[in-house]
Amino acid sequence: MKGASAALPGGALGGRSLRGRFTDGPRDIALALLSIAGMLVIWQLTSTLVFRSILFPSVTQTAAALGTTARAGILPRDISVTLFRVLAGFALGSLGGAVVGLLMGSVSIVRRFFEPYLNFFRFVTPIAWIAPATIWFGIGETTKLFLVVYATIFIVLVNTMAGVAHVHRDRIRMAQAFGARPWQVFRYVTLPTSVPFIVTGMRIGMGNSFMTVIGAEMLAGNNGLGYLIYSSRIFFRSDVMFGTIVILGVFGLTADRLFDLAQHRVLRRYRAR
Amino acid sequence: MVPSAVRTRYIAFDAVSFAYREKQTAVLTDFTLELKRREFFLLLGPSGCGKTTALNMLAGFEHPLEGHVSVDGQPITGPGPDRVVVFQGDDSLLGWLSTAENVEFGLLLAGVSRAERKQRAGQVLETVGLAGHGAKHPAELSGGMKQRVQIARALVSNADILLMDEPFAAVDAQTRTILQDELARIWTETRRTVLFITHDIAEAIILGDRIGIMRAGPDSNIKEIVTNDLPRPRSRGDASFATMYARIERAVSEEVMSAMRKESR
Repeated sequence: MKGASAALPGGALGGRSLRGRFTDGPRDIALALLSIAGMLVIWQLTSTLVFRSILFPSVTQTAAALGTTARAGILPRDISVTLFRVLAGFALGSLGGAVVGLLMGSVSIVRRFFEPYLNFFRFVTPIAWIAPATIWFGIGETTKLFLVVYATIFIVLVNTMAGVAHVHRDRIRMAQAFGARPWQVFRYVTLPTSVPFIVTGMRIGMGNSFMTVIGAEMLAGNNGLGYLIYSSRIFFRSDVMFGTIVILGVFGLTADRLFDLAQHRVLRRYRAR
Repeated sequence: MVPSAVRTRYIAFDAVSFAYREKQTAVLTDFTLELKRREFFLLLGPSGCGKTTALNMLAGFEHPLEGHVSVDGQPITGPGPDRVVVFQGDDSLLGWLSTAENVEFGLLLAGVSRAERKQRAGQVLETVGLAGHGAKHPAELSGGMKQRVQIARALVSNADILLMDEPFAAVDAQTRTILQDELARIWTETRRTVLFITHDIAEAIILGDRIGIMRAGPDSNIKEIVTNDLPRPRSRGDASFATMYARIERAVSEEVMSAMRKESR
């Protein structure tokens, strides 16, 4: 589900390879639209001509199901519930990860003390915590928040630490030679150098959050998109399942694109290390 | 009346020894050197002989195991704004700041007002030939221009001592020649005390008032100091330049050979 390891900004996960794939130019946009249209056609044809089954709904059936759930008010409510959980947990987890990561990266005693915990927990998938979290917090918001924070915090933390470790010795020495005190070295050198790493961690954390919240809503929830997919199985509503999955994909993609845009706009300067 | 002996001892390395803890062998042993105020001192030697170590001790980044390093009689306890450093690579430039903001960095830390910072940075950028590039970011500059930014950042601070650790080693040969001539000109205009490290003999002759040749490490120290009284600005084509080059090369190549023998053992 996730590999909580540090990714370099500008690497495969944070940089050029994912940036602007659909916005590079009219030709790229046309190609992307063609690809999506082609996929929808193939889906429609296989579901109406090859595997004609209630278990494999067509594009039109899926769209119709989405329309029905939307009109009934179920879909908008579940979307907002899930998005709120993702955003709240993600924000808290990112903040915590960045703060603790900066602290661990900067103070070696703190790093040595907390590193065993970090290396233990970051390999335990958030899904594993659904059961204990349910016992502790019930099936309400606290459980979801806990799980999404958990899904975000470690990857942000590890990346932030990598950012602090990345600060070149000459950069610190330069500041010291100009008379910078330790807090000034942190404020003017360490923190800005770490920003692209923190953002890269947040981007991966956002993906983890989306995945985790669905699992949590399926196994310990009574609303949200995960619950919608899971409860649809009782009524054999594969069209609703498919529709919700499509929505999840679209949301994930949109979130990543927005992140990419923000990263590109705001952090363009920071990229030039 | 100040005794002349005191005046020549502006910067002093007194019987300094240095070893990195993890390695047992000493990089420098009994390293003694005195720099005069406002002189351009070149430290020349084979790679790995401890030139940078000596500079780092004067900068306050490293501390001697034995002996002491002092400026104007005051022992050095750490880095300070009276001794600014121009580093070999461009890693010390802050990528999120503009060229002008990078130049102003030391002034910002010193609490200089925004208006004065701007004015002084603009002036010094002109001195180093970067007028009109102040708004660019380091990533948009060539290697040679980045080293000019570092020089500007050091000059603008009014620090008495400039420490330059092979600042032109990573730029191409043509740019390096231009930068050397320009640094010589800038130094003539500004007259700071400079400790400049290089393994390039021509660079040493173009820039230095005195050239200290170091022994091959470990246990390195100053082998010989050559006084370079060629008139400035100096030209690489002069006969006197060639004579001095041959003399220094002989001394340096002995040390290079010695270093190679030690390595092959």
